Amino acid sequence: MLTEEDLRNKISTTIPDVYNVIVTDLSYGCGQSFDVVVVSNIFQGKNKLQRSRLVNGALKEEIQTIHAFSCKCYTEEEWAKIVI
Amino acid sequence: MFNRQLLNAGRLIGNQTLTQMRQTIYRPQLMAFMSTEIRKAIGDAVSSAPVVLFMKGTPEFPQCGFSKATIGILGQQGVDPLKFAAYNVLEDPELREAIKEFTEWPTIPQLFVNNEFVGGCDVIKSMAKSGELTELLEEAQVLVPEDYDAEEKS
Repeated sequence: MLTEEDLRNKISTTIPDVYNVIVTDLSYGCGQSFDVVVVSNIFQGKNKLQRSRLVNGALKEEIQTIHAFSCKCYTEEEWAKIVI
Repeated sequence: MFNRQLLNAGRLIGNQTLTQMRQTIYRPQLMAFMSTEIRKAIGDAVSSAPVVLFMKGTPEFPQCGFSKATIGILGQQGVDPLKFAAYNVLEDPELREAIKEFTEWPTIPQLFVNNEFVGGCDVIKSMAKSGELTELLEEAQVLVPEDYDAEEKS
């Protein structure tokens, strides 16, 4: 079964230049539904589709086994505007 | 909002769903051929309308929160129902898997505008928030014309 920790580790090790990763299990620990926020400057100049594709690629096997997956990707600059 | 009934995967290949088609002409030696065939069927579905959504359930009865949210956004944006088609992947297991391979995108819903893959629910949500989606839909000329209501009343 997947945990928040598993996804966080996989993203941190696969996506370069990761500044922050927030993984939330929305299935109350059942490991079936995750909400993910990734902050990295690798997303600079990439549109939302390309950004999501990076994360989807990093979590290819994991996403296949779970029911729902939601992902938001920000650069450090965009993130700074969201978190005040 | 989207009350036109062109919403089931049965439209994919005449009146057959992909699964039915596979059952009719499935032969092991035709596997490679089939996958080309399915690819073509999906291509046809994608180009069947300017705006195409592969979703779980139908626009009237979405069967997944993400599909429901996406339909809601398309409605808010004012996508012209006449330029919109939805395919219910729950009606067709073959389509459900094939569409993921086709776009190399692991989740459903999946939105296409003028044959181009736009993204899934998160991408669309965030594009709607930033105004990019309106821009894209306007450019693609798939929104209900602004004087639409006035015309109807007259």
